[in-house]
Amino acid sequence: MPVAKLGLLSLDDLARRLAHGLTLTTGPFRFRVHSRQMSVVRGLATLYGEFPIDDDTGFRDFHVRVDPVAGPRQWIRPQVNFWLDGHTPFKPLPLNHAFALLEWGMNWCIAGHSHHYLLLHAAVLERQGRCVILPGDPGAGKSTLTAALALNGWRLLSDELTIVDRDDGLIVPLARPVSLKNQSIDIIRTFHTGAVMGELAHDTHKGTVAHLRPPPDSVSRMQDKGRAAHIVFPRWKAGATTRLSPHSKADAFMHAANHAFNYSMLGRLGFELNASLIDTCGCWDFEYSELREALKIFNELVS
Amino acid sequence: MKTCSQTRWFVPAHASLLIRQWNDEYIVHHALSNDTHRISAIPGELVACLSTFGQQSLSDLARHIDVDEAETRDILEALKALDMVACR
Repeated sequence: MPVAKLGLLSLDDLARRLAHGLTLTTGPFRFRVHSRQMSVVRGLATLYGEFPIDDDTGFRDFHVRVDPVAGPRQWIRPQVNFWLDGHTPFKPLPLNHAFALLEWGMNWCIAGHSHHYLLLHAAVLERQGRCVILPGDPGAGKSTLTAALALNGWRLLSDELTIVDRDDGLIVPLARPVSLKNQSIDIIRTFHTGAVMGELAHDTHKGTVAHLRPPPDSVSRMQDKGRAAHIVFPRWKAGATTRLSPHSKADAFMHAANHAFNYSMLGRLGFELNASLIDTCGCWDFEYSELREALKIFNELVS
Repeated sequence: MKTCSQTRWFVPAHASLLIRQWNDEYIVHHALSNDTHRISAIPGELVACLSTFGQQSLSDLARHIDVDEAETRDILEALKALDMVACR
């Protein structure tokens, strides 16, 4: 079967394909996704429409499944679970978290197993051929800023995982949906009327979660690696004046290392890759309260 | 017994240090422990000097960083506790 876009399938066809396993390509990874859960079908249809699906043969990096659990939990407060190669690494979650669980599970698969890359916990976007890496502690406004940039002409490489190729130090895209939480969901809906989001998952361990569809151009370029130019530590603060100020490179190194998924596992190679990234990049603190102002500064940063 | 002036400081081979300097801070990776340390300018200069030029006496090192010998020895002892340097 020739490579096609997932969005070309009708909802019924997609549901049929997912029931037997659908091969979804995201960046360098091929996932075989299996689910009979309609919220997963709808989530994929809404958010992954531009992603290529190809024939269900050949090597798949991860065989994953999201489906209801067996036993009484099928009927009483129904729950779903995530399977990787037949194993369930997580505890079951309420039924309405099914799509979010698939997203978290896919992140977990990559972060926990793809040690042929240096994996940093950071968003990464590109404009004018220059990638900006956004590490951020929870609540710092990283995903909100990522969504705003992606909706305004920036190429989205990743919302959660900055993947550094160990051979050339370039950034490998995933172009998967941006995970938004709580107030960020309405902020982005108001900020950009063209924002397409999946269904809300209420009462997750992160609060209310919704995923934003990645820009089509980012998806079509998900095999094009990017070159890092800046590392920006964002911090949203109510009423703050937008301000970009230099950040210590040594501190940026340690932050990246401490928040990486596999820095220690890579040993000397992890050090060399991280150090090259810091050598190459300008390192900045960024405080903001207004997204429009933030976009202006980011556009200037890569102009 | 060796006197202080005869003591030679060096980077132990098993440490196989990787060192980067940005402004007045150093980041050092220790191969055996796989630990990464962020250290300030003077200890960083000592480690970089020993790593580049091989074993040195306390007085040579003190001259290199322009700090008196007692303070240099204290810094070296702190680095020794992290297994970044050793003496014989």
